Amino acid sequence: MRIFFFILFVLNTISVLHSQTILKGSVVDALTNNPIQGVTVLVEGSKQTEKTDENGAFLFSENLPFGEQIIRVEKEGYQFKRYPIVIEENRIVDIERIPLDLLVDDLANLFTITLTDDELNDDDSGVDNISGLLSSSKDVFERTAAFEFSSSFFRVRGLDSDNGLVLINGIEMNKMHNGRPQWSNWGGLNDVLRNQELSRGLTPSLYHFGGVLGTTNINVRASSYKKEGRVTYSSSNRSYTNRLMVNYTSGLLDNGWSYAFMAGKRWGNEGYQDATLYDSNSFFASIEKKINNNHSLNFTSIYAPNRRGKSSPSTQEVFDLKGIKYNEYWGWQDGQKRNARIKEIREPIFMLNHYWSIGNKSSLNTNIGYQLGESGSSRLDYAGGKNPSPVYYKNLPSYYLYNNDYSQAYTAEQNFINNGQIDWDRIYDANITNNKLGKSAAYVLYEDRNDDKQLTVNSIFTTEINDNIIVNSSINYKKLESENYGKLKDLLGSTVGYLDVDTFTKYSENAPNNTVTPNRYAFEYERFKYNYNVYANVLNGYLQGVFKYRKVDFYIAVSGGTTNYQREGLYKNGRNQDNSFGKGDRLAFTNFGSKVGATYKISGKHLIDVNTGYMQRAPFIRNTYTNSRENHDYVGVIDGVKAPNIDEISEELVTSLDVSYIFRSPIVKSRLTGFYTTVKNSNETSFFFIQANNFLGFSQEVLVGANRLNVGAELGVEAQVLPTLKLKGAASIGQYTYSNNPYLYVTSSSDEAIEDNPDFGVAQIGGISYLKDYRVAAGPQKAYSIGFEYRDPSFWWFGATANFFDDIYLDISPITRTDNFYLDKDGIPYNDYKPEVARELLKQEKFDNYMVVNLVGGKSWRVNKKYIGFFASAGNLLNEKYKTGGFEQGRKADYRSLKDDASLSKRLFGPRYWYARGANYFLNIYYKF
Amino acid sequence: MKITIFIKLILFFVASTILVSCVNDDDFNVPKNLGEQENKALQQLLDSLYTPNNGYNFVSIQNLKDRFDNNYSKPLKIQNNDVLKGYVTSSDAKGNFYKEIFIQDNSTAPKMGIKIALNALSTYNQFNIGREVYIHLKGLYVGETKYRDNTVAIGGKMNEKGGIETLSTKQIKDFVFRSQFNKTLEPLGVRFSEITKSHVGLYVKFENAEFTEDILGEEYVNPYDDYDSKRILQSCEGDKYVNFILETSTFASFRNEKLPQGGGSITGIINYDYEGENLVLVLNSTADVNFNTVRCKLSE
Repeated sequence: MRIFFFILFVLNTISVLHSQTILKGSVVDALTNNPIQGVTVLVEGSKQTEKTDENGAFLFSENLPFGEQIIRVEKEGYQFKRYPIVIEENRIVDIERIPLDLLVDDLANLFTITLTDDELNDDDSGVDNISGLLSSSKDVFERTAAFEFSSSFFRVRGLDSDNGLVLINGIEMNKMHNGRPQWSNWGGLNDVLRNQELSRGLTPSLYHFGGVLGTTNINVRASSYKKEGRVTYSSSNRSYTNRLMVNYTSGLLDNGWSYAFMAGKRWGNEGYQDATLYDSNSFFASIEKKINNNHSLNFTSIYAPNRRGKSSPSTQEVFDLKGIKYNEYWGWQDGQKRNARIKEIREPIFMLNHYWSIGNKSSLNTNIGYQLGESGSSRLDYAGGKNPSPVYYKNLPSYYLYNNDYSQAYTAEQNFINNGQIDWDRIYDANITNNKLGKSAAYVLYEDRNDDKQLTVNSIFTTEINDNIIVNSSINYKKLESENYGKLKDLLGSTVGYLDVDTFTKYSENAPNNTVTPNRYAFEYERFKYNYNVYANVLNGYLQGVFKYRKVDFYIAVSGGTTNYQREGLYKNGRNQDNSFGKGDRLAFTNFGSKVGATYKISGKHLIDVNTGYMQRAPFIRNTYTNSRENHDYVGVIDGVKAPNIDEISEELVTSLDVSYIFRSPIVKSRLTGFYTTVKNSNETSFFFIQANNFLGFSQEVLVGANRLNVGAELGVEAQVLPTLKLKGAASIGQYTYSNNPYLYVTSSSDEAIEDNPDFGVAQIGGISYLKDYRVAAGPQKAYSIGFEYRDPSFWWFGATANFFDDIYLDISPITRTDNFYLDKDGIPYNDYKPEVARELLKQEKFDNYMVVNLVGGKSWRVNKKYIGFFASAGNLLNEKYKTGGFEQGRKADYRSLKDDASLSKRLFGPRYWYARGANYFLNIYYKF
Repeated sequence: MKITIFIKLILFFVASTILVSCVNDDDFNVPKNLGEQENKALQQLLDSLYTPNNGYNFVSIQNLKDRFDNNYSKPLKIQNNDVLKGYVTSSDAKGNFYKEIFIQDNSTAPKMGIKIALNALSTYNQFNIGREVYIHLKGLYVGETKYRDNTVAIGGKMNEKGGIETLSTKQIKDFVFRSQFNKTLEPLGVRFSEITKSHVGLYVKFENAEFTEDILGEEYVNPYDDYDSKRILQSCEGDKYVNFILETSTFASFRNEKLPQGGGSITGIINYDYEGENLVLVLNSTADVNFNTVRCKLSE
């Protein structure tokens, strides 16, 4: 109990009027309560440093900066602490008995390892999470979101990660293609990525205007690390099975140089799902030279090539037969599991940073970053063979049940249970058979490639006008050259090659994928199918003032800039001969942002925080072009012609408001926030096979000008009830919905579609999609967590949480929510159309709620001033089976065929779901020197 | 210095990763045992055939057709270890055949052909034209896939409608074997007037053929037809035209190709039309239509 009171005592700093400005205090060991000698106490942002004496005491009496300051208390072997204090002229600030925890290890970082690494942001899932963004947060809610909710694909405030900005040394890492950070570009380098500065939500960042979810800057300056080396080995059954990491950081050496190196490897033949191989290497080097007191130069290179086998979403029928580890993408070949869908990313990053301290008050940070490399996703093409997918609907029992063929249904079921994987032997056999007749390969394995070169140049200027006002500004230029093409990876036994035509095209003159070389046979490692470049230029700047006063802190920021995109077709596509080759329209967008916020300190314990912002931002490349593999079209332009009834493509508009009440006492820290965010005028493009009353074929569905409204509240509470025991709880209750009925149109270069619909697209299948009030599939809209962390004085600790999730919705197919759904070919409703049946068919599926229990614990030993430690975590301990997401298949897009399908006991084209992992583990051991 | 320790660690790291790195790489080659199982099964079948007096016998297509006729043209199950050997004549590469292949008894100068109904798509890349195949008939059926469609076929089971069903995926695997031999088929040269029921399934070639004048400029498939389209061929035999029907599936990928204007040779498979009424010619591909010379002239 005594210790408890000391903590309470410490946090209330004492300020006494005095003739001289003095900052003093003492530092004690949190557990033993004994004074600690030799602790460095630093007033951050100034050059004022002191060390504690044998009584643990320190004293500053000269050159102290006034106003709100942060002191940093650190000693090797202890966990450092930072305290906000207020230094006023001619007053004494006395902070007695600052408790320092012996470094068992940083609990936070241990959690981080388990999750950011897991790469939960699988681009296939369409569900994304931002655990990486939030993991550095000190806020209990955000930490819970990052570590407990992320495996459920929870999204903070229901927003996509393109609303959160990730910077490394001030250089923006979010991809211009989709706005999201590509975590795997720096995966496996956890130890050197721990210096993260997170600005939550709209709160000001020193580096960038930021997004509405927040901004994280990962500082990888070599001088920012202390002298340390570490070897870590981990074992897991989540995504990889093994991980080995080594790092060494030199700290600032006497000669002004600093070095930081790290290498890591993560590998495994199979993660939780079948055949999800993982093979990744990571390298990191950062070198800094402090030229003099004002100038430093830092060079960093990061290279993390990564290769992973993907896993598939499945229909309920498939899960029922094969379970949640089932993956349709693989098959046996020569005794090995071969996965056809491999995602491979190799995109090294190089950056040069110059840091210039201009006097005591200002700094100018200039950065040049260059990233180049390739990213590819492989898949099977079956132009000359039957669909190799084991879950192709004609392979499943449901298809035979539909046709009342019970014996075949049984055969199909047995066959699927016993085999149910890709038959590579048959694929090779088909190609070898075709060789005999000189026929084109029936199957090939190819990669959708995206090779980017991106240059970023920016300058970030910060100046303290006075003790109360800081001004930040930056100017940012980005230039992207993106090559996109199909790359033939494996001819699978064919020696004839692959005739580069679209075999579904009726008219042979339209069939070539490139009419310049109409009868070309493609071979391994060659480009085929499609080939185009996208050029993008972005110029942005921002200006921000941060004002800090005794009762109130506030900020105001504005940003502005331009974004340009241009597509250049390198193939003259047979289906789009006048609209595919050469340069397309140059698209220009204007970016603008403004935000303002304030924190009002009712007292040291009670704070009110308000933030609001408005942003107009260019649509991402992905949401701009509608069928970039084949033509120049973008939203609102069909077949090269501006569609009269569709608004011209324009910027996305994001508005956000949040209000928080923060309570901070020595025991309890809590935050309650209400938020209101709208994202308006966004476009979505999706690709699939549609079979509707008057339409058949592979199509692009374009949703134009969709609005979304996200409202809700977040609560985070943590209570240090004992020095060793912390209780924590978090909740997020939101409602994320579409708030308008956007326009939808479908385009296709399928001959079938064009022939039946001569003025297709706009007239026939375009129309309003009645989405208003449908839920956006953004993970669980309600999430709750309760748990504890126990730290024993004898260097072991453990924690447990129970997490409960609700309001999880299936992603709906917008095309079934158009008038086209119930109109027959002649434009009048189906004669058997019943609105009440339709309502039932179009009702959005809500998944069952569920609870996930996670455990984590560890121990460490100090041996000769070195540390050896381990920790283990068990995720989903109760092995709860739950769906994390899914989507409706758009294939049955009209009333009759959907009704037909939905009435079956086993649907042929039912929704496809993702299931979460069952019980899983992560084990980590390390040696630190 | 710590740096040297680090370098040692790196070396250790590199060495250990080389040792333990066992992730499946991308380097897959043609599977080693590809086709081995099929070859083994075929070898076993051939061994049984050449072992005297153990009940395994080659049967002719004629023999099977006779059995069907003698069974009052009703489907029958084959009880013996009979084996049929033939050469594939049809191809579904262009979508003009569906879940069926035709085989004939010889690669040159064939006498007779028969249909095999298979529950398989893209059979062209498995049972390619000219491929020697063996069918172990025990337990399979001879009949018509559609009652009275007049095309005798081998199937996997009987249905209530008096027809037979396709061989299932497993039946194909267990009873139909490809040998290593691929023969170049020499089409049987015939004239329209000579075609009879006995030509069904054979790969035949007609010289001096052409499409009738009234349909020139049209496509292989009449867009108003639902399943199959009939186009009339003619050929000059003496002082008069003899007609023959070309039947094309509306699912054929060449359905929208224009009918060639000239005359010349056309090669395909003889079959009955869907209704089982007329004998028709069915194309594997329009590459087999060589109407690039002048149209024929009737003799005065």
